[in-house]
Amino acid sequence: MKNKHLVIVLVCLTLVSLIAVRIDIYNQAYAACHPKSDAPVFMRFLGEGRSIVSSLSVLQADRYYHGGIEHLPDEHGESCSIVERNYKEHKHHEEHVLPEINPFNILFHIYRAVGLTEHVHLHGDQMKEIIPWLYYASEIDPHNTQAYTLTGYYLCDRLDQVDQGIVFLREGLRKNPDSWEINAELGRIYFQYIKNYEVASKFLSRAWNLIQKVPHDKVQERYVLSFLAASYEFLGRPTDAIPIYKHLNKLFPEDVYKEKIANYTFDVLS
Amino acid sequence: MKAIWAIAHGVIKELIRKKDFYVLLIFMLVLLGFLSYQTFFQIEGISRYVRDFGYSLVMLFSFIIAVTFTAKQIPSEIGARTIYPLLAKPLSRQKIILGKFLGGTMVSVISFTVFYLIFVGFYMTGGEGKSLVLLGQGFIFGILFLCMVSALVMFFSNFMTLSANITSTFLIYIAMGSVSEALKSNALFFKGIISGLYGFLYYLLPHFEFFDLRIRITHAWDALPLWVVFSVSGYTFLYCFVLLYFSGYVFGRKRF
Repeated sequence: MKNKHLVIVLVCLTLVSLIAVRIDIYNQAYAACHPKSDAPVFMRFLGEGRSIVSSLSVLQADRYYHGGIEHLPDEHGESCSIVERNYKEHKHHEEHVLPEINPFNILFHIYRAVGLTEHVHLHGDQMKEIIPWLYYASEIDPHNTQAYTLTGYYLCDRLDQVDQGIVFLREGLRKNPDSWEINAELGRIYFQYIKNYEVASKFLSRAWNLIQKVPHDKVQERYVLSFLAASYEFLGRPTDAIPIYKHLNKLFPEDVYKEKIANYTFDVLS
Repeated sequence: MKAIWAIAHGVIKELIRKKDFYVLLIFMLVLLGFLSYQTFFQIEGISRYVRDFGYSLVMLFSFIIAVTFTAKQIPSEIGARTIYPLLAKPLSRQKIILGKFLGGTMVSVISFTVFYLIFVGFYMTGGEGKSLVLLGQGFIFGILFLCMVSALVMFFSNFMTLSANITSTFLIYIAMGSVSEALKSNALFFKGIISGLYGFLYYLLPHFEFFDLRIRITHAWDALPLWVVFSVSGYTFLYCFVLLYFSGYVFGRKRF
């Protein structure tokens, strides 16, 4: 009887070791084809859900920007969502007219009184409060390029942390080398704050090459090209700047590019 | 009153004996400690997200304790057959329900107070816009919230098993966050019977969102006007009374 049990145990052990070898070979082959993610273990549990959680974290940053309240796009005259930054002060539409409530409908009155509807924005030093959510958004999903560009923008433009912003964006670029957005943001920051037009033009021309490979709109095109053309301008390369200004003039005939082209064409010819 | 207090006292002893509270307390301390020591890009004084997490944890953990402790009361007495000696005592069934409710509420309020004090400690250490009035309102609303949760769970224990009770209460808690607004809007938007139906549902369902001062406390909004505090208190007492009345009624007619 004892021998019978021993045989069963030995057979099981042999089977297990054979299977283990097969699994190990498979795992190694799989790992060779798929580079290991550098995300923490608990993040890997989220799987593809990471991109959703990361986007929610960006939305939470937007709520913080509005004092903790979610706002519908139609509540904004100009864009004032953090994801649609446009360097302008925001104008609000007229305040929403709330439907009238019967004076005896006490619960509806309580609901309205407890809820917050006032439209506010963070300003000045308060802007730092959104940074944790943007940081976590990029930590949760390192391919959320929006999280990197927004963090870069708020660090450099609103919180005077240009060095930190550049380091963070470069980290984002390391993880997303094909992102035109991060290249463009780095180019803009080098142009606006570091005044290193050589480096700015490199990032922006890379962004220009990358943007042409993905669907985009003309506003995004203008964002990249206007800084690129201006970088060339500061580098004293009008021959490179003129074709870009001409292209921009085609996209936005109403803008000031015609004047630029006229001036530069004159400079080049003379 | 003595008998009700004796039942409640037994439930409170359970809180001290069981490990649930200590686990949640340690978890909260560790998480808040970690979050408050986090730095982002060498920027000093970021505090709102710690407040946000802190308040949410306080409410969630107190809610968990309120639900799990209150839900266990009646089924565990029935399961262990200790309900029979309890029923044999010169004590009405309504008083048993009231005692169990009081015990569940007190357990969760004691836990909530400890959690809230820790939160206040973190709240006071950093950030702008500190408001003691708002903190006081947060504390009162927390207690009212736990009363309502305990009453609801006690009501459900008459019809459901322990796990079904806990699941239902959690689902209602989660759903009310989003359903409430939709019900109110529909009641105002539609006319006639449909509007009345939405209004009826709105009045029938428990409004946990009334007690949520997270955004106000996190983002340093103004404190609530006094009439709202009184109205919410009145609403809670009324809702609890109705739930407990029906709980007592159903429990009184139950055969063991």
